[in-house]
Parts: sequence; C-alpha cells; structure tokens
Amino acid sequence: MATREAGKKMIMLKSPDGMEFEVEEAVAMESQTIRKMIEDDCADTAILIPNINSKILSRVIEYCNKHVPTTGATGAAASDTVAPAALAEDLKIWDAEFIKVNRATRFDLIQAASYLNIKGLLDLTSQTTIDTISDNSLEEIRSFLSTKNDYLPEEEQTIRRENQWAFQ
Amino acid sequence: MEVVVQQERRTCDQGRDMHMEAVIKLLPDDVLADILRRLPPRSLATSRCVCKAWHDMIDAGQLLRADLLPHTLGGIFIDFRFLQVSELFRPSTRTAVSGDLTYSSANAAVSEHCNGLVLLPSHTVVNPATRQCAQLPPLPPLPSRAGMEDFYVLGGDKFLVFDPSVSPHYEVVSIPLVPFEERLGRMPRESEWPPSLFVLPVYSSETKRWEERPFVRQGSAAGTIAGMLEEDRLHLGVKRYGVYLRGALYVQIQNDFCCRISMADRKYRVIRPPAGMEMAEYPELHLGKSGNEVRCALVEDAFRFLRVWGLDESRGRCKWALKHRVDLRQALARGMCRREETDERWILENVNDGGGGSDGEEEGDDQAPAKSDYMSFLGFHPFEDVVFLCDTLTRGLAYHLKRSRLEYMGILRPRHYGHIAGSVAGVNASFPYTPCGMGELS
Repeated sequence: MATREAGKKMIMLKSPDGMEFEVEEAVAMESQTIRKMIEDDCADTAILIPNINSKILSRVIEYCNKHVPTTGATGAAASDTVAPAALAEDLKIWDAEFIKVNRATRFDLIQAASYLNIKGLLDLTSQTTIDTISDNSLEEIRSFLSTKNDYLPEEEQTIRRENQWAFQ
Repeated sequence: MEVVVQQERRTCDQGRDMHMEAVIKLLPDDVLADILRRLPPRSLATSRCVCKAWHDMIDAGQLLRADLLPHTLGGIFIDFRFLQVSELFRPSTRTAVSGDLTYSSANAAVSEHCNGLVLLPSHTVVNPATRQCAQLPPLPPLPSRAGMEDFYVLGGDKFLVFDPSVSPHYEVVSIPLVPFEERLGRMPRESEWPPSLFVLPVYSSETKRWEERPFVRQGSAAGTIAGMLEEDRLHLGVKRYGVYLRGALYVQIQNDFCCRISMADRKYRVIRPPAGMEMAEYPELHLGKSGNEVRCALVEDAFRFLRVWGLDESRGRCKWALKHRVDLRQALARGMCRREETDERWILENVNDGGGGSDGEEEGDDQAPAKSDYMSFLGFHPFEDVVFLCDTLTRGLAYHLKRSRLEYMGILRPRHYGHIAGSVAGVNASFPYTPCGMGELS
C-alpha cells in the first residue's frame, strides 16, 4: 500500500496508455464512480481507468486536486484563514483558466467527467457546449458536435415549421 | 490487483464501426440529455432539427415548453387617467390570465410590458401569468449620473428587456431624458444628445444589481440638449414606449426620435422621426411591434387619420417607412363586424370597481357611443397585421391593415369612469399583453 503521509491513503490510477498516477484517496473520491468502488471495496490500490488517456486523466486529477474540500477529516491544507467567498471566487478564476482548452480536449473532458461522475467538472465542461449550442446556427451546431444530419430535407422543414418562431 | 472499470456502452465491435460511432456520438446520451435539459427554448427548437436522436430526446423528455412562451395575445393592459390600477381588456371566453395586479403593489398601473413581464411605477416587476413579483432595488448614485440626476428623476424612463426563449433572466434599462432648462446640471446646452458614449444604468435579474453600461453611438445624434429643450413638443409626462426584438431595445426618446440599442454589442443608433410628423396636431407617436417588425403609429388630423410606419432595417438602414394611411372616419362609416376568427367578445375586468367585467349594460348595449368623437391608438397586434384602437374611450376596435376592415371587440370603458375622471378622461398608456409561463421572479 502506498502511503505518502500519515493518515493519507494513496490510490494508484492507471490510464490505458500505461501511465500511473498516485493520488490521495480523498482526491480520487471526487469521482463518484471511484468513490463507489472504494466504498464497495472493489478497489485495492490500483484502478485502471479505461478509455481515458493519460493526458486527460492528468487534467481530471488536476481538477479534483483543486476542488477537493480542503477542510475535513483528513485535515489537508487548512484554509480556515481564507473567507469562503474569496475561496469560491478563486476557484471560479481557476476554473475559467482550466477550461481554456481545444474542442477535442473539452469533449474528452466531458466524457471523462460523465464516466467518472464528477459533477462540478461536468457542469464546467458542458457549459461551453451549452453556450455553443445557444449561440450558433443549426449547421454550426452539427459541425461543432460532428453530428450527422439524418433528416430528409422535407422532414427537417416540417420539424422546423413546428417552431417557426425560433427561426425568425 | 487491478480493477477494470466496466465500460458502459460497448455495444459496437472494435474497428471501423466503433470509430464511426465515436465520431457521430461524441457525447454519451446521458451527457447530451443533461446538456439539452439546460438549453433555453430557442436553442431547443434548433436542436430538434440537428438529428433524429436529438429530436426524440427533446420530445420524450418534454424539454421544450413552447406553450409557456409569450406567443399568444392575452389582452391589452390599459392605464386610464385617474384610475389607480391598470385594467386588462381581454377576450371573455378564453381561459385568460387575470390582469388584476393589486396583490403586487398599491399602485398597480402598468408602465411597461415586455414578453409577459410588466413593470409598475413602484419598480415592481410582475408576471401576471405566474403571479410572481420582484422588487427592483433603487437606482444607485452611479458616477455617470453625477450632476445629471434630473435627467433620470424628472423624465427618465425604464424599459424591460426580456426574451424567455433565450434566457430566463430579464434586464431593466434606464434611459435619461433632457429635463427642464433650469435642471440641466453639469450638461452644457450645446452638447450633443444623446451623447456619443451613452452610459446607461442597467439592472440585471441575474446579478440582482444595477450597473453602468456604455453604448457607443453609430451615426449622428438626435440634436443638442438646447434643441431638445426648444423642440420638445411632447411633455415629459407623455408615455414613451419600448420594444425588445432580436436582441435590440428600441425606445422612444424626445421629439419623436427613437434609439435602437443593441444590448449585446453595446452600440446604439438614433432613429429619426418619420417624415411628415411635423404636420400632426397632437403628435403622440406609439411604438410597438408586429411579428418581426418594429412599428410606430400616429393618429392625427383631429383623430381622423391613422398612419403606420415600419422600421426598415434592411442593408444596415434604420429608417421609418410609411406602410399604411387609414381614413378612420371612412372606415367607421363602412361599418364593422365582429372578430371573425373567434367571434368572442372582449371585456374589461373593472378591477378598479371590484371586478365583474364590463357587460355593456351600463353603457347601453348599442355598441356605439352616442357620437364618435375621437380615436385613440391602443397598440399593435403582436403577431398579426392588426392595430387596436379605442373609439371615444368606449369601444375597443381592431383594424385589419391588409384587409382594411374594422372589427368591434367589446366595451372597454371602465365602470363609472365618467364620474371619476370627468373631462380629463383618457388613456395614459396601453400595452398588448402576451402571457408567459416562464422566468422565475424572486
């Protein structure tokens, strides 16, 4: 068992491309998927995360590290001196920087966040997609999300007409 | 020991199919559903057309509630002179939203309407359909107002910006007006109006705060402050209307000028008065919208003629174009019919007199005042090529601009109004109302 500091249990996360990440259990448990595995005792010390490459996994861990509650039973990095509002503001700025990634990375992050069930990261990563869908035309949405149009032209016209107000 | 987390969707085999699947479905269904659930109605309507899977997901989850959007006409709010509370003139049969807003404020006179939200003089925002209210905080002493306080206090108007198909949040924009000569404060008489950088106080329901937003003028000003003073034929008390359409707020300022304020790109333009306005004896330009067009109307020549202009915004223009000139006396002489489509009578709720609706008994059910003295303009039908008029403060009329036909809607004179208002009877302001079931107010 890997233990770096007294009282801090460490967990090994492995990506399919062979990289290993040693993280605190509390950080890994930001993922509800991993938390459940740990709580159900199906995880020992190493968990293989399929389908999430090392590049994305390292970003996910970076996010969890930042967002893990800093006060609690584990007593990690005390923040009693920092006002909660300031802390939240700091996190918001950090998040805004974190999400400055290209489209492919963002989709990978959405999938990872969804799969690992990390609500905060899912909210953060999908907001950009929500904004994109809200701000763009039909064709732009299709191209942005690489979604294939499987309507016949007349079918699309019919569906469009059902909500004509939205296209004026 | 290694634990392999089970993959949720391994329906496809390895290889080409798997790759195709990954390209088409970049987002897993549950993530996509979660994203769709958070989209505003307009984006949902677009998303239904993206592909069949999206369409099915949106419809199965009933995510798009177009029925709650302000797409129907619920009546016309009329603020009668000398009455405490605005009255809603509305269809009698339809399951209508009540216009009784007395639960929200003592002074429930509607001073502005936008897509189902109304603003009261007490700075209360009300949604009559959901009966929710929100109180705006007072306008703070923002730096741009320093030395210009009377531009806001004496004549400043507040306008609602709300489009529930795009966002559940609303904004309130305060537009300053040039006050009296002796109240100009720090503003020199020769300065341009509106200024090239128009700094407007804007309240956002999202942040719950007033903030200053600078808007850069494109094109020329309406004139100078001195010009506004000299030419201001409209009294400061006359109602100036606002319209919010496709992300732009159109507001009346002074001397029949309007402004088109683009909320997103922080720019604005002055719209010159329609040609021929100066001919009017009692110019009261009424701004509104019909369908996708911003319009204005004027009843003139001793209430005989109605002129309707549409705002031409093609090819970067922003200019009024005359669309209709109606001889109202002739139209009245030709006679009128009932509202064809529905054949339903409109009623006034008579909130000021304990409710009960106008049944025409008191006024006599002859549908016509003893003498047609004057016509006032009530507003534009928001979705049809129709305008609403009021004949001698008694009959509500709808005029079909394309078919040149006048329709009788119902009696809109408040009960005992003659006794209450006497010779000063009249309409301060009127707003075609489109009920909206969305947008939480708090």
